[in-house]
Amino acid sequence: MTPTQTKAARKKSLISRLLPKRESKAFGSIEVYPRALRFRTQNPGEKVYILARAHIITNIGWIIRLLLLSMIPIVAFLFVDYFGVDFGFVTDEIVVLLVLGFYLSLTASLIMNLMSWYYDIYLVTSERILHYAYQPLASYKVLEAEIENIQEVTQATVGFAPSLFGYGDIIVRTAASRNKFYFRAVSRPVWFRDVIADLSRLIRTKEP
Amino acid sequence: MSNEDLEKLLLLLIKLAGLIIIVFNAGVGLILLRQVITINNVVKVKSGFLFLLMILIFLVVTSFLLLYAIAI
Repeated sequence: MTPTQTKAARKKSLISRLLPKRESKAFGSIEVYPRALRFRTQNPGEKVYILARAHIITNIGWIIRLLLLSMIPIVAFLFVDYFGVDFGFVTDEIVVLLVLGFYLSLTASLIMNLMSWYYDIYLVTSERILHYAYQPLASYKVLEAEIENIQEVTQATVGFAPSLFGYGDIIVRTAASRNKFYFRAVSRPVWFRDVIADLSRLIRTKEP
Repeated sequence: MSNEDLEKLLLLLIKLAGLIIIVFNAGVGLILLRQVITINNVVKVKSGFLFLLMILIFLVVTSFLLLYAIAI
């Protein structure tokens, strides 16, 4: 085995010590060595170490909102029944149409919100960190930073819900870019920050 | 304008509003379908096809509803 091969093998073993096995945490919010994941700009030999998205609990706001909205037709029917309000000229077919149209809008909103959570992903690969920032009907941006250039990784868990459910923001500052790279509301932020910092150090080091 | 004419006009407006809601949702569904196809090409994630399926079902239901709205 040549010295270069030995160094590569050593680096690989250190990375496998850092991220030992394939696992999924916090309902798929974090996946280590994600299964069946490919991205278009993936370089040959580039390995995806972590896939992360916002903690699942961040969806609770729109879920409650949609649940409350879905009760509006029921409340309206009860109201009409209770007070005996008569809209005699409105046929049953029109009422069915309006109610179904309303629930259709709620379904569209549900799909949009789910997609917005599911496709807004962060990837940590052997070469870079990527953020696929997706906003349904609006924009789709891809941000990336070289993992070698990471200089500072900051973690912030602020607020009641993040402290309770264990999620927080990770802010990564790179040497090349003046902008910061945000990982918003990721699960297990302490572990995440540690892994990014260690990976960056490991990949940057020529002599592991 | 008599009361009956007013009721007819109101009914027409309500029906038109229903139609607009459904057409709007169909538009949203089509844009989401386009986006999900694009995203699945850019980054292949595990359950990408589930979203595709969900949007297709949504579009089928929307088109049935549109037919219903036109029929009544």
